[in-house]
Amino acid sequence: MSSVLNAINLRKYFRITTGLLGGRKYVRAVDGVTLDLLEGEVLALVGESGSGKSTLGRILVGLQRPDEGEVLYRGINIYSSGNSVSKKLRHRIQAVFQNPDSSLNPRMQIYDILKEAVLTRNPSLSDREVIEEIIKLLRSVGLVEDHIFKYPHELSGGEKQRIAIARALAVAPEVLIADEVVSALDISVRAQVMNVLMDVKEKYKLSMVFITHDMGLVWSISDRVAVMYLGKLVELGPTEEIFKEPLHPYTKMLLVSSPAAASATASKDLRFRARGEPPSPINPPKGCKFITRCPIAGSECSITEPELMEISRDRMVSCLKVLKI
Amino acid sequence: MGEKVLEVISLRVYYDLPQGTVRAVDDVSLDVRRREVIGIAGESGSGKSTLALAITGLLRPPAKVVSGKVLFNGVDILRLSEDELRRIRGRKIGVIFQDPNTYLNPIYTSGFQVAEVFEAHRGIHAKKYLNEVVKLFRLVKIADPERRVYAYPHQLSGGMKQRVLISMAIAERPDLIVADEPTSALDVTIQSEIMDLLAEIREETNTSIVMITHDLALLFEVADRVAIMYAGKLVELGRASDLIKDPLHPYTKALLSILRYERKKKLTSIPGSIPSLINPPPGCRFHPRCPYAFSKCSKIEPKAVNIDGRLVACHLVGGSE
Ligand SMILES: Nc1ncnc2c1ncn2[C@@H]1O[C@H](COP(=O)(O)OP(=O)(O)OP(=O)(O)O)[C@@H](O)[C@H]1O
Ligand SMILES: Nc1ncnc2c1ncn2[C@@H]1O[C@H](COP(=O)(O)OP(=O)(O)OP(=O)(O)O)[C@@H](O)[C@H]1O
Ligand SMILES: [Mg+2]
Ligand SMILES: [Mg+2]
Repeated sequence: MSSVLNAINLRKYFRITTGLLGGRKYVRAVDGVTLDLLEGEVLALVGESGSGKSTLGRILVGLQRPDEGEVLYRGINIYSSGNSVSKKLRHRIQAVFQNPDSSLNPRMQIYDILKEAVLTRNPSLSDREVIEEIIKLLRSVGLVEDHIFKYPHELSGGEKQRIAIARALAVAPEVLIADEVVSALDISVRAQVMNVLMDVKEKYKLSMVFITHDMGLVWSISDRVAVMYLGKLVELGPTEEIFKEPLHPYTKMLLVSSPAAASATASKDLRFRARGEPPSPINPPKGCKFITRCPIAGSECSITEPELMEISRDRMVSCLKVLKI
Repeated sequence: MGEKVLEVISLRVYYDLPQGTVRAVDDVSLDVRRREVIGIAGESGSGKSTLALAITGLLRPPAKVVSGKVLFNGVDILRLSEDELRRIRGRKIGVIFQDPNTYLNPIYTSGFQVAEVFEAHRGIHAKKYLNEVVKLFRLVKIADPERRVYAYPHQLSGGMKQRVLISMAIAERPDLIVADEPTSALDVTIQSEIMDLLAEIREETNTSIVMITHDLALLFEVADRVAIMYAGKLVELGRASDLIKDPLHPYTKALLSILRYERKKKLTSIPGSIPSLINPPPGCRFHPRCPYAFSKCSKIEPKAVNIDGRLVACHLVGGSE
């Protein structure tokens, strides 16, 4: 299968203020990530809070220039032209972000927000057709017309989230980066919106990076799973294989503590219940970054940092313990 | 059972908009006892956050309280001045909001904002409390707390901001914590640690918790009693263990019957569309989507009836009115 996006060795460090402690410190938000998004696939991106998922997402859509590395969209470097991505590319790659408040213009009514998106795809529509299109969009994400002339702050959390989704879908992009897009929805509306998303994906051959904490959803919709920990990919592979046999201890921990995934996963090893302190992304531990929480770490793990290695077809993992077996 | 910390009595909160009146919370009654965890779930847009704002005295125009009371330790929150509310909020009532960005000020560091909770209540310069804040950050599992107190909100990930709000809410060990989707941006491992932390605080200080979440597994795990909302109405309220075993309201039934996700299958949702809150359906608001609806349901609004301590608003339950 060919790929739509190639992320090559991406690095993004944020300089931070450290108050009295002083000195120049960096948060290694994304620390050497290489990843392909295949044509038509749903790639689930999971990982600990603060592990760099949103930052990676922003880099992939062209909103956050990486310090190092490049993002190729069908072979074109999206950061090559000056500071921002060309307008044309921007429409092909759409994003729905974790926090809809920061992406919905507070001064625009829902009507104007969606109109802009609808006209991007089809500039020749009449006013009447635009309204019809907007109503269709609202309905598809389970919203009534009541909301058309509201401002974003006049909507509930889940309603805002759905407006952001409707707007992205209106543009009919080729690539969609979806960052926690259904986390504020009840399970019924969540199902409805996911079904719409998957229909659109089939119809327009959309490729999708789906960032989520909901392992049940990952199981349901994704083709592959990428697991991040402290700025790095620690495991990557086909969804079914990862749920059947997670390899990295952090992946195991995620699956063991997730009730939604419990029925799907074979990994019931209680050693992998959540434990330990989250490590500092500013002064990450030496060797393997997962060492502070890992139930199976050995002495070698505090010395050598494991690299992401291919261990079988399509499966990659970075763990010394796994590689040794 | 402990005494009532919070009593919401026949509360109606509407939003007045040019296009009509949104009946977001429409005659809701609920009480919370000391040490009790009340879970609230329900459809997106059904009025859960509006209820939380009312309880914490944070409603702003165009919201207006049409009727009802919110008694906190016997005092009506809805009648207090802004000053009186500020003294209660933070110290007596901790609040965790659904959307951290609205409540974190972008121009102050996160640590400063948490320290202000102390300052507001103790009248001393916030800086003195930075050490306390570091401790709080450590409690909510923010890595590198000594440095993170200096981070501005935009420098934090979604889940970290959520935890900053949690640390603010627990800072003063309040009598009541109102938590609106407190863990939606957290991965499962941190989520379970946060829930353990809230449980500990409750043990220590007999805190009551009102928790709003869409995560039903979590809800039924932590809540003593569960309230289900639909289109501005509280449709069912009862002990978590009863509700999950034997849901009585058809909306609760439908919600709880949504199965675990299956691989690459269409996800199941409740058929029909979400009602308008400007022109809600007459009679029972769920009747257009209810598989058991009969003629009465579209004409007469069902009153909540009490069945062995469980409240249900449905014509099918409890027989006559
Ligand atoms: N603008 C910024 N300045 C400084 N640090 C930042 C900035 N943006 C993100 N970070 C830091 O980078 C790290 C990764 O953040 P990111 O938002 O990508 O995490 P995430 O995986 O999306 O987390 P979550 O699941 O909580 O949303 C965090 O430690 C965060 O504090
Ligand atoms: N400031 C406002 N002005 C006008 N209408 C509003 C305002 N805030 C909320 N609403 C409307 O009131 C209703 C209830 O909103 P609320 O935020 O209480 O829902 P919720 O149950 O918390 O939903 P969610 O699960 O999506 O967060 C919704 O229909 C919403 O559109
Ligand atoms: Mg994020
Ligand atoms: Mg809400």
